[in-house]
Amino acid sequence: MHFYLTLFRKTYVRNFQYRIAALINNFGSLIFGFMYIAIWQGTLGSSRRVIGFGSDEMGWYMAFVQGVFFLTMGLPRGFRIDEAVRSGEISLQLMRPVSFLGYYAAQCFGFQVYNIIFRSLPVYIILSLFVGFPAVHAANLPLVLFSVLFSMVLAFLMTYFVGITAFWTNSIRWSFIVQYTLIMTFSGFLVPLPILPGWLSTISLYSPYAGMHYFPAMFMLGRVSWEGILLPLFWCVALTWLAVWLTRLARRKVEVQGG
Amino acid sequence: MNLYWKLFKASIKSQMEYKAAFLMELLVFMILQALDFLLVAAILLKFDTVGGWNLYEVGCLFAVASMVRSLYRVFANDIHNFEKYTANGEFDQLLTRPVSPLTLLIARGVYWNQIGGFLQGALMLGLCLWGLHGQGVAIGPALLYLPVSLFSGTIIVFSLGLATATIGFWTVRINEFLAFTHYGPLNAASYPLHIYPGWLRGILFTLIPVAFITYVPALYLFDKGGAFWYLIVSPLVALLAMGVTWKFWGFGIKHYHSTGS
Amino acid sequence: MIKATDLTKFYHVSEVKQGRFATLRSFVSGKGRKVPAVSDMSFEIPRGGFVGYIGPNGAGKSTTIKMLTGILHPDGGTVEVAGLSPQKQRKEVARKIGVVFGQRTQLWWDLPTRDSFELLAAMYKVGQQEYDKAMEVYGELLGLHEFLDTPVRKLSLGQRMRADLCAALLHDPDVVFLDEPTIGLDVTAKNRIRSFLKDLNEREQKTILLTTHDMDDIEQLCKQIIIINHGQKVYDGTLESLREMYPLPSVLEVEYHGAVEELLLPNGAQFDPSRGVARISFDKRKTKPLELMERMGQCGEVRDIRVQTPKIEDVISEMYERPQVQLV
Repeated sequence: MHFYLTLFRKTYVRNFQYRIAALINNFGSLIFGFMYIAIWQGTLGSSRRVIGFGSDEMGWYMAFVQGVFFLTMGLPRGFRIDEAVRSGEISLQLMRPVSFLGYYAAQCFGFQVYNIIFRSLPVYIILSLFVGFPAVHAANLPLVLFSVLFSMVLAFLMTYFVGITAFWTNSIRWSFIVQYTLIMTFSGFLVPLPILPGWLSTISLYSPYAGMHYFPAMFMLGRVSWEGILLPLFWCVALTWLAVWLTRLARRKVEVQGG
Repeated sequence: MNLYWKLFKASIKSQMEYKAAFLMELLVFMILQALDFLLVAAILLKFDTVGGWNLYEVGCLFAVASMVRSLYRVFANDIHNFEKYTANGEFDQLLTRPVSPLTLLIARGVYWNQIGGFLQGALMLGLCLWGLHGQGVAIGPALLYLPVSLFSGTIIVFSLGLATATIGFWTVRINEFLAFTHYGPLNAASYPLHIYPGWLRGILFTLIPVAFITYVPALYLFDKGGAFWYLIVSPLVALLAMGVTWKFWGFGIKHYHSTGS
Repeated sequence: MIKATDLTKFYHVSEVKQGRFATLRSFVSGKGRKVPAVSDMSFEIPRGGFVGYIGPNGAGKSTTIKMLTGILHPDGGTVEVAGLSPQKQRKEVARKIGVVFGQRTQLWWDLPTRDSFELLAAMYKVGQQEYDKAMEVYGELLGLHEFLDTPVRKLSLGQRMRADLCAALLHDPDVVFLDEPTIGLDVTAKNRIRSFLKDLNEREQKTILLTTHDMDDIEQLCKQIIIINHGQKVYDGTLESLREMYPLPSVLEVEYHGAVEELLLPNGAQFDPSRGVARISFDKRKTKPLELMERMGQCGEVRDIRVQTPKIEDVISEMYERPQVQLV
């Protein structure tokens, strides 16, 4: 456990060195945040409502997912596992007496914690200065935190899946783009999922992606539900199992081919 | 001129080296750009209008922004990726040539793999104009104005890119800035700008004048309360932006001469 | 052909602040110190000169080259290349010089080598006839024909360097700047490049300025060497006179066959009976090598004689170790 903690801390500290870049980057995402919020508010005006959301609720929703964005999409592409495969460093990583999956998980959480403090919170707070903060019921707060935690785990797994394809293909570009498209469409980042047309909305709600943006944001707005906890929990367990299995396959592949 | 022609041919040739990758790249571009439209499509399916503009009208803004961005990347990708010149000291080499560095940067290649956005935009524009035509809107003027719009739009995007590249002479890294000067504004210009809060609109009309790419002329062309002279303002703003950026670039080069990388 | 007078260049070192938000504060304050990268550098290189410009890393070598080629503008002093100022007439100077950066190629990565040459010819407005002639001459000397149609990214390092050299010469420049042209090459490739450069200098009277860390480059090629350290010129002259100023001992080794009369060997000689070799260090200016050889020849039957003159790198490291001696 100590090793993972150290790795977690190191990743966190290393990111610290990119402060200015992060600062500028934050301003960049603010622009996008303002845009999405403005688009919704311009559409809803003062009287229109959709899925029970008025202009205010939609603003809160958008501000929140903009913040969560850094935990889900603000991770290094496939954790750069592809680079490790290309350079041969991967055999070293697999040889180490620590779990390969755990190694990347620790790194990922270090990254995410850094992002929470220096990206998510500042961006969320600044956007909220414009759209206001929703009143969060104290009893719901633990659920919101749980929900964000699931989102972080799911994001780790999704990024890991992209990275691990490097064992079988030359470029992870394709898996990255497919994954990116799926997240953008099904996670509720651009549009709260029930607004999607018909069957697209149903699929997205049951997909693992809904746990990445949609459910945490709904919880934040006080719309707590059982499926909002159980579905992401189920996906976290199922996909972790899948990740372990894929890692085993990858390890075997490297052992057979000798890196 | 001979040099440009040679470079033009060479760039096609060098990209033909990777035929499969080339086609894939094109496809990806189109998918990613279509994804941007998901948001607006979902809204419009529920509400019919965004800020009083219907699906076809917003689609036209989207399409032209997409085409303009793609044209810029096709012809000036090395301006967009200028960080590799400032970060690796490659800019030095450009200064040992008997041709201006800007010419060399543009001549470095024509990036056909970036043409996807243009094709996708053209297709989308065609569909939207057809739709508008079906609603009884006169689309003749918009069609006639399209070349002007593409020209002034590309110049505006190019100017923003060049200004960002110039910043690189001081900061070396520029990729972090592109969110403000390229990705963000172009995305913003894909919607009717009056939906944004005043300060944001202010920026998009002055400092980062992407409003003039399509929104301003569209106000007249789609009869949204614009005047005829709006059509002339856009190219003028484009030329002004180009002029100012040109000076800034020259200033940046002078700075580079005195400090290096 | 190249003339530098009191050339001076500072660079800014931004003050790194300590404590909280250090990076941001230094970024915002923009304060810094001026540190001289090159100071009061003067030298002159005649037409047909072949100069080795050497010094340790960070001594100011590349800063000087950048000023000579018009990339950087000096903070003080003047530069003249082929009678022009690289600062005021950058493009005109660019036509008269060829530049090769050993670590970086100027060729188009994905294009066949030949296409890069054609593009450069168009860029420098080289006429068809001159182009054909240049390709014939250099193509032959550098052995380019075997890979003219290969994309640059598939060339070996040695091939790429040859192609880069040719690319820098297409427009028939008077002056050629070479920044570490042999870096990373194997011995054969190095020799090929060296003999080409020697020929280029001798036959076409091209003025060449070369920076390198490879002392063989200097010993085999350069007529004049300029040594720079801490931004200042510490030596300017021929290799021979440098050796004379820093008289490191030459070494004479005599290998004997059969019995040796050890007592007759000159003072300071060391004899290794197992190999039958006597070894003596001597100062060329005081002792004539021939005399020494004769004396040692009387001590036994000589099988072989070897004389080792001090290597340039020994001379230079000797110089760096005693920097207080101003040689110029």
